[in-house]
Amino acid sequence: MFREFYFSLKKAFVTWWWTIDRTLLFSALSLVAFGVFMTFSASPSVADRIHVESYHFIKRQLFFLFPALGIMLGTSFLSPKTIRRISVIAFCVFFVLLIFTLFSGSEIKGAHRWVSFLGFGLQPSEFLKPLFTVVCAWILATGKLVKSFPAKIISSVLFILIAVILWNQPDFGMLVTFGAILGVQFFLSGISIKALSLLGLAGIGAAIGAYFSLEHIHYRVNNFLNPQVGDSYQVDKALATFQNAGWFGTGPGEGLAKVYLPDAHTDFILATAAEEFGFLLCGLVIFVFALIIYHGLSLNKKENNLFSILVSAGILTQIGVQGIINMSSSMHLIPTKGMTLPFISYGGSSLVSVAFAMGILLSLTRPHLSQTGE
Amino acid sequence: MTWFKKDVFYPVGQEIPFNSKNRYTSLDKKTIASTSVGQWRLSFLIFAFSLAFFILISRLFYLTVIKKKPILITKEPPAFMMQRGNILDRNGVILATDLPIVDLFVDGKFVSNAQTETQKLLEIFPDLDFEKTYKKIKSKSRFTYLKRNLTPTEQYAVNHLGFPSLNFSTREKRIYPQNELFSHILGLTDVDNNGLSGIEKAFNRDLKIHHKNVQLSVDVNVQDMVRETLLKYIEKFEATGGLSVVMNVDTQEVLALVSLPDYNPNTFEIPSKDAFFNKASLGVYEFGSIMKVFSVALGLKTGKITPDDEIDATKPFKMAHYYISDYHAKNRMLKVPEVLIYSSNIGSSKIALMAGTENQKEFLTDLGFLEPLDIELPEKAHPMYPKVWRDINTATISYGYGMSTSPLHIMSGLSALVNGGLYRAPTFLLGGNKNKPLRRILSPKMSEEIHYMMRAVSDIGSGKNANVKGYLIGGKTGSAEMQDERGRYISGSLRTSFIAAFPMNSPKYALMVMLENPKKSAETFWYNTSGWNAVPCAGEIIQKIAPYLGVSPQSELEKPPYIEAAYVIKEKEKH
Repeated sequence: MFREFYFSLKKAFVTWWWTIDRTLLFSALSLVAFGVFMTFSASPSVADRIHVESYHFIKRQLFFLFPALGIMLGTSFLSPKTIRRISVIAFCVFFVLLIFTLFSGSEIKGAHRWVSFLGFGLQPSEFLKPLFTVVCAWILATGKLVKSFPAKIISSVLFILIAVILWNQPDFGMLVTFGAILGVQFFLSGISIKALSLLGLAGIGAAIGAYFSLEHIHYRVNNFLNPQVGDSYQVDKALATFQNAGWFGTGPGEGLAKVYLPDAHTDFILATAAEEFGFLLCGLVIFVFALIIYHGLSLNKKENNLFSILVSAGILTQIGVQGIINMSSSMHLIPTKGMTLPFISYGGSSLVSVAFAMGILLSLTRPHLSQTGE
Repeated sequence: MTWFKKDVFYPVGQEIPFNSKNRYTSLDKKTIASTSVGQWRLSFLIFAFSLAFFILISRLFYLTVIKKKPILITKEPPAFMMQRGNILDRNGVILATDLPIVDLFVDGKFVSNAQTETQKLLEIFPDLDFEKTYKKIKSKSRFTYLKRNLTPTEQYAVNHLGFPSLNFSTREKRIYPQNELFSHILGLTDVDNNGLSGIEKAFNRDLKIHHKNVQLSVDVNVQDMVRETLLKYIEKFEATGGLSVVMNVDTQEVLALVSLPDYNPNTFEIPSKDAFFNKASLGVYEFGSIMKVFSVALGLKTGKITPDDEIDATKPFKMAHYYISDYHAKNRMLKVPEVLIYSSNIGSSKIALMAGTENQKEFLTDLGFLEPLDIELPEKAHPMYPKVWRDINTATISYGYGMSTSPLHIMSGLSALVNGGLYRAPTFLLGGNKNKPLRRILSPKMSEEIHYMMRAVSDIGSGKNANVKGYLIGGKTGSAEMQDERGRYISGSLRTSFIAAFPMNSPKYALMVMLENPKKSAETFWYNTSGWNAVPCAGEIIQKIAPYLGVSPQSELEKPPYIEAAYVIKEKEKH
């Protein structure tokens, strides 16, 4: 009895090990490891500034690290079908929680994005991202199989419901990410270029609408366009942090400019990383991000299950868009946008959510599953 | 509703292997068709993402390697760098600085005996209310302010009590050690340490972000002497307000600028609109007879008159329904210097009309009177002048009605008139004028002729009450009726002003004094024109600041023939 169990367990692990995509796995693990390392470096100065003990953020991040790794590896064992089932149920739960943020969410820096859960601030929209990806992929794939199924309409309605809530939180960056996920999924599921252009125009229209109706967006865009006029304290400090780097950086923990950089452990963690590790290592981090996206999408080319393609492309889009927005805003290529850097930034919700997303990706890219079923 | 039928619907993840085309169902074909559409689309997506990451790595390379700017380690403690920079006067005296301020708060978690703690605290702060403080200490709240702005001694005493529940929080506070002295120049900051007005606003970026000090051209001693004297005369004549500006005529640096009433930037009270208003840089006024100096200069520049000429002021003349007449009418031919000495409206109108409307407009533009000044302060005046400039405007503007400009405009114009004829916009920064363009508005010879005439006004004309012996003051008075908010002249209420430069053998400094609505009194023989209030005020200011500025008493100028003649006529008329 025990022997059988042992062997079946061993078989599962061996199968997992030989089927898992190791490029993706080790890229993700190395980014997480780097993120923990950076939290050690970046967060004490922020903690001191807000008068909590120096290791406050590090302790919290480590607290989330092992559950996050567990979730990532655990999810990669699951079959696509199980993932879909879990995701549909979890989607409903987190969607309700997201609505909940509007009414009793705690306010941090002027936005209602968090609900309190067992003493931790929980950001439902972070978790909703991978769940939304799976649910929409399922709907769109079903739409291909069953002609009468109004897949595009249903997924659009889901998106609009979420968008309305995010607009009111407000969390414009998250809204852009959700839009990008659905946009890519539409694109890959074979929507006509004409319809895609219309969606693109609608997106641009929404962005212009946000500029004129959301005050902080207006302010940030204006600040970006006329840096002489507005308060560009954060961007100035971030650029100074980058410029202190050079090829090799100041060395771990030796950064000087990061001390004056607000959000050095979250939105601007790339600046901290650059200052201490220099162009070579920090460039490597960006390269690893690119590698995950490139490799993941390339695997999709060999895939012939639309559900799989849509889920992995959606997740890669989520990671990619978030990473690109975060890095471009800290390097002053776009207006500042508070968005975490996946795997690396401090933040429990962000880490657990991206770990779950990565777990899904790892599971779907295991080659045997799509060929033999369960 | 066909889509949930068991025989049609394949739950995803349970797909049939697509190895052979024969094994496809018709529904599978659609899926495959869609994935084959996806092939080029996937390539496109890969390309887009790769491009984005390539841009990011290039940008990283540009910032970290190409634009590398290492931070030098300084000995300054890190907290210090968060401070807003200081504002200094020309000698390095601090006019505005940030100081750390300590507030006392109680952490309810660590209170052991609220009664004792309250009693001990009250020994240090007798002004605290026992009941209120006791309540605050007893509440279990983790953060309650007990007292703000502690002195170091008080902080030491609280520390000495040794209660773990009593803690301090520090913050930065903007302090203006000179109180109201520089209120209009420096301006204010808000609670977020952003400049709201004045230099604080103009140099907000340098002060706040780069933590740089800003050194001004003003001099704390000159400013203090000017303000003290002006305040004294405002009180003496019950004026509603006033202003004074001192400027170096060669560098156009502002040495002092006082606008009264003013406010104390250290108090939390919001200043009244009147007190907050910088009359010298933001206010626009009709200056009256002061403008005649510029009209004579115009006449000289255009070559229409020479100092030896005579102007017919025998009788008032009529122009477009206006009678232009003189306040101290001489009813005779006036020599050009006499137009200034007796402040003749007729004389100056005729000179301006001779020069012509176009030339007048051009000259006033050259003097910068018609445009906002190129100064550092955000409070910049927009001059007002007639849209359609007719001959009647030329005449009235020549003696200071029909065109409004700011006192700083007049001061920079006056500097150009007396410094040998070179105009440059004024500055509030030490040496801040080096890069501003210079332009010639008058020849050195004409500038010198102006020196003699202004000196005569101070010696025997309306400015003689400011004739401090030895400093060779030259000046011109002006008294203009004040206007109400709808632009109507208020009869009897005057805005009296005096512009002066000294020493007239080679002018170094220019000064302006303006009083708003000074009252008549027996002491002034029931006059309230400039000569009785603004002029003696200016005299007293010069008497105080000239020695400080290193101007030593000089012997009287040698009079050229045209000035000598005016003195002779004056002597004759006395008898």
